[in-house]
Amino acid sequence: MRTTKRGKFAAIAVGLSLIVAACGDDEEKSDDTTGETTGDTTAGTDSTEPSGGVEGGTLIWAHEQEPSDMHLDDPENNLSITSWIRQSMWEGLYGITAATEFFPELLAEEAVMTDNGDGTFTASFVLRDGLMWSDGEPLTANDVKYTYDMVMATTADGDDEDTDPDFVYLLGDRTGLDTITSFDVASDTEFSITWSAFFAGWKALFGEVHPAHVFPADPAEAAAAENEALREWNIDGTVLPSSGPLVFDNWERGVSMSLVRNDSYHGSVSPDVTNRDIAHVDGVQLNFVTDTDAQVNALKAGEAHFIFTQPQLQFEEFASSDDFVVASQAGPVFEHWGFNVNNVHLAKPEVREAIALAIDKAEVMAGLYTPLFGDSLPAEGLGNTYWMSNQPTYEDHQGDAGYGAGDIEGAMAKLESAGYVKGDDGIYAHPTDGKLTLRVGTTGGNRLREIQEELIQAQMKDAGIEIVINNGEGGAYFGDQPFNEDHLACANSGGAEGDCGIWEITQFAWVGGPWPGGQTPAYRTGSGNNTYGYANPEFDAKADECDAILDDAERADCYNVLDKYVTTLELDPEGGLIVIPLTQKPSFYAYSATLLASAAVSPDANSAGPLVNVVDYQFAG
Amino acid sequence: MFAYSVRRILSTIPLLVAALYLVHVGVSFTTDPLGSLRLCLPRCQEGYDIVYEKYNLDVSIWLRPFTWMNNALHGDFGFSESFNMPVSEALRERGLNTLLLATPAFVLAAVLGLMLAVYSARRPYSIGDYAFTGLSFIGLALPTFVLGLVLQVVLGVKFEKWFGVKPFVTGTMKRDSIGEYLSSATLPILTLCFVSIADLSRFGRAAMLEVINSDYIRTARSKGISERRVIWRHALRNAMIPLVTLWALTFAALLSGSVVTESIFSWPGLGQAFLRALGKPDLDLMMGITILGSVLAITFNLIADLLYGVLDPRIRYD
Amino acid sequence: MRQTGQPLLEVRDLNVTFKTNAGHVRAASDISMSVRAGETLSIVGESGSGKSVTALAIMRLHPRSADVTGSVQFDGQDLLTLDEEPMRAVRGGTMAMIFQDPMTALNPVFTVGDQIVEMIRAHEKVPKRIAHDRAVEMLASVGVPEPARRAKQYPHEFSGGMRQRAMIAMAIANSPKLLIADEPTTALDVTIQAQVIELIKEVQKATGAALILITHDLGLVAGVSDRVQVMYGSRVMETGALDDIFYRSVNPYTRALLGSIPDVSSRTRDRLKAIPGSPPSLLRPISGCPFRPRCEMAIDRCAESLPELAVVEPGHWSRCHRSEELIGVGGVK
Repeated sequence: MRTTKRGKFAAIAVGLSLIVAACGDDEEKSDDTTGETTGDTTAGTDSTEPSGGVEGGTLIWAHEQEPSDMHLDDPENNLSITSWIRQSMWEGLYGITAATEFFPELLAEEAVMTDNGDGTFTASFVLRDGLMWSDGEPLTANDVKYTYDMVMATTADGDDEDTDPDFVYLLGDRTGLDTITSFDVASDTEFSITWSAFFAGWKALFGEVHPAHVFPADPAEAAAAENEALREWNIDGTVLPSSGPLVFDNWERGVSMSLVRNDSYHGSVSPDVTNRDIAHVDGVQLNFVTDTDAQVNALKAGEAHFIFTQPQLQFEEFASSDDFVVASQAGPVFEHWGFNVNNVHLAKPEVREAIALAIDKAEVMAGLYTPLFGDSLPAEGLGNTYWMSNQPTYEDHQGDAGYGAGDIEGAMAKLESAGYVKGDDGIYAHPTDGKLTLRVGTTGGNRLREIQEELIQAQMKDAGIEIVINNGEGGAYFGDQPFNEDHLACANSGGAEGDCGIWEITQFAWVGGPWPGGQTPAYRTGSGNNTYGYANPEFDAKADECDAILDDAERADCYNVLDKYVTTLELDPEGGLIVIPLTQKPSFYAYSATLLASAAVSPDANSAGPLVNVVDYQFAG
Repeated sequence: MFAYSVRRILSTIPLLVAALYLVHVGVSFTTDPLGSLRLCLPRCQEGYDIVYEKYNLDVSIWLRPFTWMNNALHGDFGFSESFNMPVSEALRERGLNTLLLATPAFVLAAVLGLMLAVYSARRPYSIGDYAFTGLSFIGLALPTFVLGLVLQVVLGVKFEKWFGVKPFVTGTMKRDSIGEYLSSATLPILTLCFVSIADLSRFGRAAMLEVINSDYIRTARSKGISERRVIWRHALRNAMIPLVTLWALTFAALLSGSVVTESIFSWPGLGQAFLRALGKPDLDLMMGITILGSVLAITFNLIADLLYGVLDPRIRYD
Repeated sequence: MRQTGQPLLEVRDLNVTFKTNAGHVRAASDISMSVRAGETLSIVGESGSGKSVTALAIMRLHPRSADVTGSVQFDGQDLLTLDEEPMRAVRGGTMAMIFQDPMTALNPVFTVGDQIVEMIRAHEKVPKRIAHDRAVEMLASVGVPEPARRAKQYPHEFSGGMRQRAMIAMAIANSPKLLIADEPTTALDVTIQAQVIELIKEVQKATGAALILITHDLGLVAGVSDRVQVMYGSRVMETGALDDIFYRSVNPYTRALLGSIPDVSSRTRDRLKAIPGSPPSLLRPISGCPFRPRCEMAIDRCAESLPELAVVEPGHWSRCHRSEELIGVGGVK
């Protein structure tokens, strides 16, 4: 029964998987900020130097989302907020920095990856000394091993265990874990993991290490116990111990959740934080304030010290006040225009290139994003979908190709070279394929996106391309247009099946993570995430090759090559250039300057939230 | 009266079933519990299967309500995913919180509404009457969220700047002590009260005006009794008869939770729960809140009807 | 006719003006009247002539929007300047009113007994039980059968005639010195009308109260009144003893009114002579005599000036430029 099609797109996929940004749902319901917002925003620094702060105090964070339970991997759970809370309690082998990069967190140093020569790879890990759970138990290699065993534990159900294992622990994605062939613990701090093949996303695999000592010894029993215990974060009435700076304390549903300081915390080694000791604050209280305007009021009323919400909020009032600090930080979320290459016009590389040439990203940036985010984003817009502008490996592929600069002449020349002739109404038409009119859709009701569409619509008109706006309503847009089953059938079959006429251009955001390879499914032939209909075996092979490159720098270059396939015509002159990245969408936060001496945020939709560097929060004296 | 009540209750059952059926089908049509799970197939097969089974997605959308109703008849209202607890428990917990707002808001609105109605009816077309009429229309026209946010800013944020004290909490429910309860509940209660009072006082004014111009009020005055007695005993008793239905419906609506007010003031009541259920979507919880709302509406309608009989001797139930 | 010194009620130049959106409306203009103890004065006129408004103004029950001037001397007090508290003692105490429509004049949500009890206790501090017993007595005295049971019933359980009896019982509960009956029979069945008038006369006799009977029906007046006051267009047109009006009327309006009395002896209705035209609009008063447009005897002077209410003979006054021409002429009988 597949009659129901509409659905909210929540950030749900786990780990490194690429997901559709949850734009248009309730997270952004108060989306009414326009380009007129004046920008006095302080560009994001994730921590200010602690100046005259005091120890103690409870940090109150007002936020609109409340987890339904704390079991992150329950497919019904809301990933972002649960993950942000848990980041302050359970540390992992690798953490993530403000620049969306991995750093050794529980590890004493970078793990060493060895090519065993037989296709298998082994990584050797060394844990830091003196790691401790909040209940006083030491954190050892056995905890990491336990985590692996527990996640992979199965129950015998009579099926063939090799092809259809019945896992106990609820987890959406075991990619990278299921190719582990051995896990050897050498000592309390040393262990090694062997994979049957190289998996480029390996650093993210143990983003959380679970406390073995509070769960049953048998992995399957432990998995079942965890499925229960994680929901309310306690086992048999005892709060689960933490390895991070905070310990779970109390959760009054619908009202607040309290976390208290872990006094036996072993200290953070994140390059982003200045405090290497236990947290300054006594604890964090998360108040669930559903309405974003009410959040603003709570901050003004001193009932909250910190808010971290959608950028569309009216922040300028805070920005202009000395009492508040407003900052933003770019994360791996980016807005783009994507083409349906099974459309007669968009199938022609000249048309796609004409649009890319005619778009003036600088105008979009100046009108919509710079006022809100200051210079935390490049004024010329985003030109890469694998690496983001705040990452050292970023290259502006589209900018280098001359795209996104409002080159109207160039765009018209391209169209004319494809046989288009300008009509009396100033719009080009093709002798056989007709008038060059294309529909663009996005999540309706999101003002920022609507204005963005209108801006580009006007730019296209100058170049003789007619753009018709055809938005869907809120979250239903995704199921109705880009991820409509009939459309995906078309995209995956090269136009042979399904309905190729549902949409022509889509505008939404992708959410990534520190491992850029997660972007690949959006372009891989036949992938359910590939709504554009891009199909290039050469790209697919290159993607596999990139993911298997051991060397970080080499792999980074490889991802830049992958990006050129889809953002330029350089490597795929016929089928390339199917997406136009526009800009990153930074996260926004504000805090009371009179109350907080320093705040520490490393915003990343999935992997790093406001509590990841919680040790640096400090109340003013 | 008992036989009448039983008959009335029985006659509402088809209505209730129809309402539940329509809500269930409507919700099923517009929400997709599988949502993003579809996108991450086949990796999320496990979760997909769990959800698929829980919501009986293999059954036709037209038949699914019956499965739900059958379970509900046996006391099983399902499990709320967004609260991680049985729906009945979520309803009890959230219902209590809503009750804490709805009852004082209703009592305040009813009493103030009546006083405004009496004032306006005694001095129709006076400046005071026009002022209250104007305020009522503002109350009717002003979106709740605007009112709520204005109260937040004025009494929650600015109050402290003006007076140096902070009596009202804007964004948290507290109920550990009476003082805490009052500081956190006052603003949402005022919001709810203001929104309902508009209706109640307008209707009350109309009812009072009609009564006050009637012959028996003139008779009452001719008896030499005090004006106070004329108004509060003779006029009010009669004016209350048409008001009772509106009271009942208002109270029932308040008890079913106010989505906007509870959201703005972060009050964990039924309205906020409904919003959250809608976002998930948490079909079982939505159905639970719907059935509670329907039952409340039907019950209070019945109470209003029975109160009619008490207030108006001309009405007899047999 | 008892005549003992000072009149019980002396109304002088009573004016009642309503402020409406369309302008000021004079509902009663320069009304004067006097009623002696035990005497019966009938005020007769078509609807809108100002007779009910006058009665309400005397009891100060007029609507808030009305402005009342003049003087109302009652029992030694000027009611128009009296404070609210002593005025309340007058209302229902020394002066009581019987209203037109018994269907709507009783409060539907209280028992008939309770409403009489309230009347008693408003003026006399007696225990509820005693007041209740008195109420039952009152009901019995106005001929309500099974008064004890009836007292516990609500108005809707009473027939129209019974309700008017209950109204009367309530009105006389405190033995008022003046009863004002405002169209007491209009809403009733013809068969009941005579009974009710009879009852009013009876209770008047029994209590010795003066009575102002307000009616549009001259026929009702004949048997009961000592004096009659005829009103038209908010003004008194003619006033005098019963015989002055019935047999020696010098006012064309009164005469026209008398002509429209149904002859009870006649079986045919068409002998009833209606006054042609309709009563004047109080909102836009015409110049001169208000009855002029309908008057068979109207002359130019009638349009020029309003005739004064002038003495025709002692106790008999008429407002007509041609009153003198009518003295001793014709008459109805």
